[in-house]
Amino acid sequence: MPTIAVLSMKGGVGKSTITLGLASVAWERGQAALIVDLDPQANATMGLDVLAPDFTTNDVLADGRPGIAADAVSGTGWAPHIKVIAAERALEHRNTNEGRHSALRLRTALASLPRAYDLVVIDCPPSLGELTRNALSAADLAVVVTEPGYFALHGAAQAIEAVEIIRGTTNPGLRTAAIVINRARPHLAEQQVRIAELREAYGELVSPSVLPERTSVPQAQGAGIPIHAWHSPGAREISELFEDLYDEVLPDLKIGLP
Amino acid sequence: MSEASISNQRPALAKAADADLHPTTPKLEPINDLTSKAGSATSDVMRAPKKEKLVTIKLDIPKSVRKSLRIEADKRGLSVNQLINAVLRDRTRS
Ligand SMILES: Nc1ncnc2c1ncn2[C@@H]1O[C@H](COP(=O)(O)OP(=O)(O)O)[C@@H](O)[C@H]1O
Ligand SMILES: [Mg+2]
Repeated sequence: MPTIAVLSMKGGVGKSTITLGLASVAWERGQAALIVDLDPQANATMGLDVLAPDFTTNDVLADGRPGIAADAVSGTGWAPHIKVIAAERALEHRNTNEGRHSALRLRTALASLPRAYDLVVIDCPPSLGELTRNALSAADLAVVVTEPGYFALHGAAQAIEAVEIIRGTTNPGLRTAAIVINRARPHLAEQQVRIAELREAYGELVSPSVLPERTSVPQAQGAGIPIHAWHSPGAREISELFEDLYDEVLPDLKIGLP
Repeated sequence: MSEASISNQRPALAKAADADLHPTTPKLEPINDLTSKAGSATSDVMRAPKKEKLVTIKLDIPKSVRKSLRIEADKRGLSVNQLINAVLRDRTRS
């Protein structure tokens, strides 16, 4: 039911990884999830093991009729309860303002579709342009991703400002659910400083689930399988952190595991 | 009326007209500029300059592209033949 937009200022920080991580928790727990890939690079689509989908978010946004997104839902290679609206390169055409209500096209096209799922995750492109505006306008919650580098604080601030702007314009119900630090190598003193800076600036908004750098992340993505299905100590560690993040961001969805 | 019967009535989603265009391709919008090279009336877009002979070419394209072409041509009130002529003329600068 809740719709989460995963965003960041930059590319390569882990938006698609966190999108896929949340999807992997849903996969593990048998909850119905819809991933909406709004990045023309289509990394989340590939990570979900989707080949040649009939329709994509480009078609949905180009059309824009209320509820039309339902026509574009595809299955994934993961499981029947994990669905996707795939992305494709041509989605880049939609990253410009298309006139009145341009930022509301995704929300309009999704209409009541999110109600059919326990969770909807929108993977944003690496910019704060029209596609990200559409994602934020359609979402209930925003998850901001950052790396613990020199520009971490700046990047997080920019993304949170984007959330504020959308809250003040097209989507008053939107709120930032968490700032997630990804690709951490906590033994590096520089990173400790950056993480402390973020905590100082944003307090509890910074998720306690700090995701370390683990080779199993690109491996599972390359294989097109959920990180929960990748059997290595690193994958297990990351999977547990994704579960904590899932419960933090979606406390209402916490269910007893068998 | 139930939601299902409403959704059955609306035309299904189709591939976007630009689905097969690389993102750096200039938008097709200014087709009137293209047509103006041949003349001002839209039907002139398929006419070769002066009395040039028309030739027929056979072209293999994905079905999805044909569909996009039809949609795009419809939007502009052209035939697919006219649209392709306009685009090719622009691309080859002839
Ligand atoms: N915690 C991590 N450990 C190792 N590799 C990671 C981690 N997070 C992301 N990566 C890798 O970094 C690359 C970029 O991550 P990605 O999630 O695609 O970023 P974005 O979606 O923000 O562009 C991908 O190849 C991904 O597999
Ligand atoms: Mg990505």
